[in-house]
Amino acid sequence: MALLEVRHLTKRYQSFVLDDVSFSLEPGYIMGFIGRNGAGKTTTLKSIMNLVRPDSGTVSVLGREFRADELALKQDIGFMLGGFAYYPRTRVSRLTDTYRRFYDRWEEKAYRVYLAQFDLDDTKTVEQLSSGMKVKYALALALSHGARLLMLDEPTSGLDPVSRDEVLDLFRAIIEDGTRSILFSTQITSDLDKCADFVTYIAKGRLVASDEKDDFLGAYRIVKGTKSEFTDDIRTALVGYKQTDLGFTGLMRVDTIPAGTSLAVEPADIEDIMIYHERVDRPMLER
Amino acid sequence: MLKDLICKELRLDMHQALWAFLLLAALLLIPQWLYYIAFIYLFILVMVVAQTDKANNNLIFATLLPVRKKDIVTARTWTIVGWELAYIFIAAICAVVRLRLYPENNTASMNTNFAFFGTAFLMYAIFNAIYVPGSYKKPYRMLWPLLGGALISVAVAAILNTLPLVIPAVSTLFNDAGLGHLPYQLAALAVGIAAFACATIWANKKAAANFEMVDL
Repeated sequence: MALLEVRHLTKRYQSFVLDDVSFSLEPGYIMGFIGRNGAGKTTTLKSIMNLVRPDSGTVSVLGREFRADELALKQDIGFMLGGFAYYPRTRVSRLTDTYRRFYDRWEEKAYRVYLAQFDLDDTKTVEQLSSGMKVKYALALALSHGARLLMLDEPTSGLDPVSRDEVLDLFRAIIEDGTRSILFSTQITSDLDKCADFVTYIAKGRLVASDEKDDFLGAYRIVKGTKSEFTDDIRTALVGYKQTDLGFTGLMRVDTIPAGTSLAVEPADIEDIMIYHERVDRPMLER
Repeated sequence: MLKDLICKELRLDMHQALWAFLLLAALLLIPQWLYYIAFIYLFILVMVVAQTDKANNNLIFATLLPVRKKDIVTARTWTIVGWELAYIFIAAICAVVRLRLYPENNTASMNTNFAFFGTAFLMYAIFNAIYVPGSYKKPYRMLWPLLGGALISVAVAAILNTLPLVIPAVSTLFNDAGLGHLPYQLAALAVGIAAFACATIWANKKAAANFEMVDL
C-alpha cells in the first residue's frame, strides 16, 4: 500500500495552473521532487496538505483519503515548508512543549534521544538554530510523534555541503526500517544523486516524469553533433538543445535516438534532464 | 483539541508581557472621564498579537497541526473573548472602587453603572462582528478589519454614552450614578450581553467559513 498517493491534483490560479499531477510513494523510499522556481513544487506540497484547496484531484495517505480523514492522518505526517520558519524568537523547548500536546503518539523519551543525537540545544530560540539544525529539529519533531510520511519543502536549501550531507545521511537512516518515506523538494540535483530512490519532476505545473531514479536517468541521453548533423528530424526529436558555432548539444529520449546514429551519445544526469527540458534556445544577450 | 489550541494561543502567540494591557481597565478609576475610551486599549492588544502572528508564520504552523481549520479560528475567537471579558471584569471592579471613592455624577459622559457596561459589551460585539470574520478573509489580513471594527464600535459607544447628556429621559433611566432605575440599567446590560454573545457566535462561524476558503 502506498504511503502517499496523489491523483490528478489540479489547482488553477490566474497566472499559473498546477495541472493533473499524479504520483505515488511506497513505504521505505525517498522521493526527490524537482522542478525550477515557480514550477509548482510548493503548490503541490501545500495542496497535498490542504494548505491550498485544490480544484480537483485526490490525495491518499496510508490508503485513506486525506481530506476525509485529515485529523487522524496528520498524526502520521511530518511537514516542513521552506525551512523551519515558525516562532523564530521562541525557545525550542517552549515550542516543543506546545507542539507535542497535539500528537497522540508523542514519545518524549525518543524526542530527548533525537535532541542528543542531533546536538540540538533546546534552550536556544528557533532563530538561533542554524539552517541545518532547523531541519534536524523539524525531523526530531516529526519522528517523535511517529510520523511515517515526511514531506519537506527544500530542506537542503541554504545548507553548507557538510550539513547537507549530514541531512541526506539522516534521510537514508530514517527510511531504513522500511516503514517511513520521505518526499522532499529540491533544486540541488546532487541531493537526488546521493539519496533519492525516486524522482518526480514537474515543469510549468505539469508532471514530466515520476519514476525510479535509474529509470528516469535511463530514459534520456545527451547527444552531440556537428552543424551539418543538426537536421530537422534531429531537432524535432530533441527535448531541448543548445547550439554553438561548431554544432549542438541536446537531450533526447532513448527511444527517439535514431538507430546507428553518428551522433555522440552520452549518459544524462538529472541536471541535464532539467536544463534541457526547460531550455528555450535563444541568444542570452540581444545585441 | 480546542484546549490545546487555546494553550498555544496563550503560550506562543501572546507574549506574557501583553497581559499588562488588561490593567488599562483601571482607567475607570479616573474620577471624571469619557470612560468608554478605556475599552479601546484592548484593540491594541488584538493588533499586537495579530502582528506577531505574521512574524511567527502562525497560520501555516497551526494548519499543519492535526486540528480543523475551524478550531484554529474558534481558539482565536475564544482568546479574544477571554481578553474582553477579563477587561470588562477588571473595569467593573474599578468602577465599584471609583464609586466608593468619588460617588458624584460623571459630567463628561455616562456613569460607570450597569447600563454603561451594556454599552461596553455592545462595543465589543461590534468589534468582534467586524474584526473576527474580516481577519480570516485573507492570510494575515489585519489592518482594515481592525480599523473598521475599532472605529465603528467606538463611534457607536460614543453616541450611546453621549445620549444621556443630551436627552434627559435617557439620563434619568440609564445614567444613575448608583443603582437608581436598576431594571432599566440591567435591561441595557442584558441587551449588551445578548448582542455580544450573538455577534461573537456569528463572527466565529463566519470567520471559520472564510478561513476554509483561504489558500495559505
